[in-house]
Amino acid sequence: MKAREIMTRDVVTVTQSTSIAEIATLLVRNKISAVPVMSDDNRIVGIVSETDLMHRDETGTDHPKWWLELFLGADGRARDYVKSHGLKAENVMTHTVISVSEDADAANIADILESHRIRRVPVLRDGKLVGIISRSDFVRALANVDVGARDIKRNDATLQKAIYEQVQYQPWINAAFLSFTVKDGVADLRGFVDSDDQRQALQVLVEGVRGVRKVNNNVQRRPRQRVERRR
Amino acid sequence: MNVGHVLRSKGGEAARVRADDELQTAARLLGSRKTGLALVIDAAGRLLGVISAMDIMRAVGDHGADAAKMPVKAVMTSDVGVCCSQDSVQHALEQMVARRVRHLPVVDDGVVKGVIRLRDAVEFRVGEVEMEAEELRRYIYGAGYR
Repeated sequence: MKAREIMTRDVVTVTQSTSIAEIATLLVRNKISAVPVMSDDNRIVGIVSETDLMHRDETGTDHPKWWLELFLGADGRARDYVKSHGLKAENVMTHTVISVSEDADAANIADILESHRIRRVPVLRDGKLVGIISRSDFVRALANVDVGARDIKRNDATLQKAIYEQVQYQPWINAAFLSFTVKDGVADLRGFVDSDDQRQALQVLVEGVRGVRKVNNNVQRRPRQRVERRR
Repeated sequence: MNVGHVLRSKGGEAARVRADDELQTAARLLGSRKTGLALVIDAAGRLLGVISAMDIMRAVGDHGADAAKMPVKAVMTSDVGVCCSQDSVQHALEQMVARRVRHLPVVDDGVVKGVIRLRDAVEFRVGEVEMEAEELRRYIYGAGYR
């Protein structure tokens, strides 16, 4: 299995100037434990995790003992001070981010997560962020892998069912606005999504369903909803 | 106050799988229960080991998609620390710290009762310590006599 088959595609990111308070809110709302920090030209420059946010006044974990230690002047305290008083992502983020390519093998990724004792690794294509992988992504990948049907030609109805199951498992897409039909192994996708990225990700997802020979992607971007004007 | 109290107040119900279940079954269970750990038990409810997201990650890394058909017993961790309902919360905490784990199965007379989580145990101890401090304060200031 490769990184692209395992990764979560819809990644919440921040910029260097995103405030700590905003980051904390993002982590809680999205039930995630870290966010990659992107530069203006969309390169990953760091990552901010829950751990980086600890010792913050806003999160209520600032201990008086910590202040004492600060003034005792041990090495690294100045850095911690910035962590507690910096207002932006760039002040608290971890700069050295270990990342993998989307072709990276699952074995390598497992090794990296284990040996570096990290909880997640960003996935890059040509330096651009395309996903993120944590342990739970491995669990999900194994839960979804279609073992019984490997090397067996599947009939269209089974394929259609498999596509629906795959799509419904993805948190980033709303299956209610989509329909899939399969004829002779060719999947026809119709309906609406929120963005071109979702449209593309959907295609990759369906292409990954074993037995699908070809994908006709007729999915469209949902038209923006007009805000009703008051008169 | 002991481990049994924490289980009752926090609900220590844990995901359970059989040693011969396929790994894919375990992965689906962890996914649907939104947890990172399941207990591996036999027909009599005895604990054989635990299986975690880390174990599954390792198996997928080593065997790819073939890991789905492997039996749970091939990848589970069988050297598991346990505690019993009568143990103090402090004792359970010390075990978790010593073993560097965040969950501890609770086993009474060979039968699995549930799992105590590090977080719940810490919360419980903090509550206890605060209560003790309050009682001490009342004792010192004689609040009980007013």
